[in-house]
Amino acid sequence: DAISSLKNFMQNTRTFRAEFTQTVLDRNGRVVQNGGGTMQFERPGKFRWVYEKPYEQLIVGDGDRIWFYDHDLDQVTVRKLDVAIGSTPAALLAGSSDIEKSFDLSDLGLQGDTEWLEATPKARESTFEWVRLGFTRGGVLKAMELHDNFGQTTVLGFSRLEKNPRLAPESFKFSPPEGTDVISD
Amino acid sequence: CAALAPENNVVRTIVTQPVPEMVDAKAADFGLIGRVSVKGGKESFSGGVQWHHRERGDEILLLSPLGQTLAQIQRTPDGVFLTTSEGENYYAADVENLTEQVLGWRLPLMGLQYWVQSMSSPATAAAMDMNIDGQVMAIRQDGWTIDYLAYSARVPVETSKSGTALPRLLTLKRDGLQIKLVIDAWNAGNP
Repeated sequence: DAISSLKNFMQNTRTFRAEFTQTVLDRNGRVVQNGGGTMQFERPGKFRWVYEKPYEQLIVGDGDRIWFYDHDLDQVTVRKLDVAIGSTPAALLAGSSDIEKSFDLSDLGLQGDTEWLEATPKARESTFEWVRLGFTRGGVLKAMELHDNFGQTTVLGFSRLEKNPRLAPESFKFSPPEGTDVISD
Repeated sequence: CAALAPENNVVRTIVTQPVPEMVDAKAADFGLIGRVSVKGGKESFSGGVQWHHRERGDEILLLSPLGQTLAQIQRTPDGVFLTTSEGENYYAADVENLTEQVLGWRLPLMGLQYWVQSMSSPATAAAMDMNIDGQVMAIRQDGWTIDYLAYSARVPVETSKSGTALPRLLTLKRDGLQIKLVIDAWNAGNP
């Protein structure tokens, strides 16, 4: 079932890389935004989330901090990893393998050819209500849905997923471009 | 879409006077999705914005860079309400004071409904710098300076009443506070 797939995924996948599509739906289920890009993870706490569409944006977790770089705004926001990651879905994928420390898991069973689970954050002040993860029957991560506290849902679909590829260390480092505003909390 | 940088020299400046009968008029309905960054206030902010504007009220969602809603601002005929993602509720008579109090920076909503369409508000006097193509380069109103850094190359089907190309990148400055707004889409996803 999905929960055993997730645990297997957390224990046996130290790094992975995939392409993703992202669709944001408002609380009435209407598509608000479409996008996509590529992502890489190295457990714990390192990830590189590159949005190519609808605009250029880069999110890098270097193990200690999380950097958000927005090309159009020409701005970098940097936050401590445990604060930012604690309540975000990236925590689920790139966090420490002991997932049940910060999420309650419940099995949603098979829908179509995807096995689903729901993870609800234990921390009260998290920015989302629940996350759902979809795996193939063979245990390959296929989709993730995030439902925030205002009913907005972000749907991510993963493809071309590589398990435990060799990833260059530089991909988890970030230095702000010359002259870019850096905002840190 | 290629960001069309307006021809940057200002050829004329128009000064507009308030139009009394329009004072409580509101800009026509629109919806916009974009990204906003704020610096120079008590707090900074960077993330997404979804804004549904109606004559009788506004709803604005402020999102984290990862897309989760952090705060919802609702302007209604009897005041403005702000709800945070932790479920705290705040109320004030106007948006600027409310966001200053809760978020640490002033959101000039009453002017912004016009400024995002490169128009000045009819409620107060304003100065508008135009370039040779008649595109608005800057507006000075209500103590704010709004600079238009890029217009969207393709004019969306439902352009604003004025039918002009719509801004894609603008900055709002006042007393050290700077708000930068990128507009990614218009009239998408009305409730």
